[in-house]
Amino acid sequence: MDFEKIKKSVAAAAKRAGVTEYELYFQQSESVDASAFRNELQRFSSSVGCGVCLKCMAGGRMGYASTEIFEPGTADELVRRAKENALLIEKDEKAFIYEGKGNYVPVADNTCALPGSEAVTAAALKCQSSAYAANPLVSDGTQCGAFAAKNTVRIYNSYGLDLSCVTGYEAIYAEVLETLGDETNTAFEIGLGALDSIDTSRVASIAASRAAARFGSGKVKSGEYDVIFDARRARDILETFCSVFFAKTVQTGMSLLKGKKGEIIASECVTLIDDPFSSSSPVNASFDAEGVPTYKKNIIEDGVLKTFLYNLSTADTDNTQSTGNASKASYAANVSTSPYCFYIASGEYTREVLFKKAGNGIYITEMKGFHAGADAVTGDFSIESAGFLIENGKQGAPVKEFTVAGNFFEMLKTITAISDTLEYSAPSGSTQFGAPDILVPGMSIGGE
Amino acid sequence: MVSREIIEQALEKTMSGGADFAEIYIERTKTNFINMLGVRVEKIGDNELCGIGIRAYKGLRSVYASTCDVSRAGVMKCASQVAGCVNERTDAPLIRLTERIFPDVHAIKIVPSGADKRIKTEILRTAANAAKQYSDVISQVSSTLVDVDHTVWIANSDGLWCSDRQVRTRLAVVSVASRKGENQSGMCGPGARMGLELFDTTDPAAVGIEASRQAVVNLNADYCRAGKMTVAIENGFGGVIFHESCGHSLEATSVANGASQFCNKLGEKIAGDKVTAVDDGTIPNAWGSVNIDDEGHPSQRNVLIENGVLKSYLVDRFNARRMGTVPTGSARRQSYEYEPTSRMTNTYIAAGPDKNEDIIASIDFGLYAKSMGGGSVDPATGAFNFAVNEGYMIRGGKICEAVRGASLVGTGSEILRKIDMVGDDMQFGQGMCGSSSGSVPVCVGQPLIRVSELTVGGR
Repeated sequence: MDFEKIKKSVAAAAKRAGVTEYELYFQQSESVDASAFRNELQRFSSSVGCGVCLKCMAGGRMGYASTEIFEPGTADELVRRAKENALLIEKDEKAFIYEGKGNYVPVADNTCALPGSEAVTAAALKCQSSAYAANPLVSDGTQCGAFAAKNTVRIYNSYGLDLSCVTGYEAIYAEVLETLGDETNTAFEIGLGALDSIDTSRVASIAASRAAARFGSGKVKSGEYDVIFDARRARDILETFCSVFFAKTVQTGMSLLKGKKGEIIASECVTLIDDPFSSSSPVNASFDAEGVPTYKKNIIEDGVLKTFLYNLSTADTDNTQSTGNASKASYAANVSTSPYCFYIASGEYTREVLFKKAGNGIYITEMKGFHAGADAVTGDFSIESAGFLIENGKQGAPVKEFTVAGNFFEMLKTITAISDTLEYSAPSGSTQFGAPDILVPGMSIGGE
Repeated sequence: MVSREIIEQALEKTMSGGADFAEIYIERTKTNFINMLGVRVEKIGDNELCGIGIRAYKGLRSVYASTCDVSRAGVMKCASQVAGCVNERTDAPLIRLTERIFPDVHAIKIVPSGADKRIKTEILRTAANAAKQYSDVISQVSSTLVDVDHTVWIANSDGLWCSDRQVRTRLAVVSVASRKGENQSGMCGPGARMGLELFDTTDPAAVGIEASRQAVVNLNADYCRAGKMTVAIENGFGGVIFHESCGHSLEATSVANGASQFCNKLGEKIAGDKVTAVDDGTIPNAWGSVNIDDEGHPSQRNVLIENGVLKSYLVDRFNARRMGTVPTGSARRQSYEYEPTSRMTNTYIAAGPDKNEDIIASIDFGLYAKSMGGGSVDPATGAFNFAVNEGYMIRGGKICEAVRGASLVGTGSEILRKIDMVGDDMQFGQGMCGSSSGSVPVCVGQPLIRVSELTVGGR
């Protein structure tokens, strides 16, 4: 797909159809991925995908149509479909094509090519052998791999706005399986960075020791416990409930934060930040999916809700400005909302102090089934978990097969302490989540 | 879309790298959705996807490349890339494809991709109005009608050349009930491998009412107490428990690598005597059915467990090599961007000997899970977690008060052994199943079953 050609032919087709306000959104994504089984390469895959989405105004509404195939006649067909779809929309919310005002902070384009198949394959095999070397319990079924991804976004609209952004990253991952007698444990770790410079043995040994630490897990009795959520799990909880901070969710009555702007919604130790230029994220963005410039902002500041995340339409509904958080789940998707590097700011306590503060309780390191056990509308969650006892301020024996239940909104208010460590997830789209370890007293644990 | 001549050349190119098997998957898919918030059309999606995926095996190595560039140059470039990764040069074999037509058992009366969108918005309006009017406490309704028109062509170095056109339609309604700053939700989402004639037999209003009924029940319910108890799981989407806790562990994706709780257990007793479980991709017009799988193998009915004894795994072509067995027509993928692997189609626990009333009457204290939500599982350990969307306590053999926020937690091998009563009314529910080869439509199903003891998460 040649975006320059598509621009020209869609502009001509729009003119023929009498469409004056429109935007073209083009996305090309490339990736390579290799994974190992035993000490051999098992799979190698590569993909190139690209598509273009036209959105246009007709009858005061916005319609979308998209395609991955651009043949003679496609431009006229795209305009016809987008216009037809616009005329069926019934919502009150206004729609906009962005004129291109504001300050676009430059972000370094990642224009280098993806690593070749040899480099990706070698990194996967190296990680796999590191995993077997890390612990004698590591067994067949262990699957380590390497991948690299590159994403190009182009936006062009009828105001002449013409933007381009290229992001990319490389990573290795270790999915370790360990067996001892009848017991099997698995653990996962991922490392971001250039394939030839990631500390492979560190990634593999973290996964291996995580799995090893789980052997001989006991059960816990049901009851209320003080809980430390490991940074990785605090991050998962944040990801699960992040939509409650989207203006759209609030405006449609699906978020219990409605009407809470400026109010205390969390403990004073909680600050939640959205940063499109985070140095920890490989997917920085200077503009959002509507072409609006991005900026860093606090969502929660010392416990107080400062803003929701807006795109052009939801900002208009609340009579405010877009926060530059328009996003598209794929080139074909309607505009929605998402954060960039979205993280809970680190606190003042070292991990040791956090455990001392907890005294006795449970340190939760594994949680599974968020899509089943959590409801962002109500804030309720009940998640299958595993972790370790906290005994006299220290990490104790491993425990498993219990659920931790609570409510996200209540939990925000009851967090008593936050660690000074911050861990980030692998990016998904232009979003990355981050959190420190957090201490929450009185969580409901369902065990024996 | 891509000529047979180009496909033959691309297969020859792929094999020239020394592969012992090559396959090309071509796809063209139209996806439409209309979403209504309240009773107004909120958004419309309208996409046409198109691309190819080329795969080669060399022994137990698999190489896959995909591209959306279906020009001769794009296809040949993709083939060269795969050949280059296998990288053991040989003379290219001559490949001549023989077209094969498999029977299509899924009649489609009204192809939705070309239907007037106003017909679809009226179906949605009927559902949304019914959901909204069900009760004063219903504060929000989101209804979505999705239709997919998905055509695949599959060619391989054995000379196979075949295709399948898969048309699917689904209506999903989510209702939210609110009172005093508290929200509870309910969901209903029937779908089928059918066109808009789905709504000749499925009343959109009934779908809306069901979603709202669940939301209202939950709003009036107290939190479920956590603990171990006997659990009765209702038919239909209740089958998700088998899908998640056992089905995924029976996929060759897990079994071939030794990462399944059911490795090396063929012929062994792994479940209660009354448990017979089947994966059947041949059921006419069922949501998870396919005429051929995504490797061009005809779909089939696979008995997984018979009277408690493990009979079969779900096997794709590549893992069949590692396992020394044959494929079971179970290879699936979301799109050309995904390498296929073994997946479920329509998976269910077959009807058993017990009466529903006897099952409930047999429980002195326990949970009746009337409607299940989604779940997830670690296939290696079989540890699972499911949400109960609508649950009731059972006391003295009677269904009592509604409870919310319950989840079912355990392991697949444990729950299978503890299924000790199986009802006689098997029903299906529909869902999307996510795994390494993407998101694919599946049915889950079962009759009412009793699990003698299970950990119930609550608070």
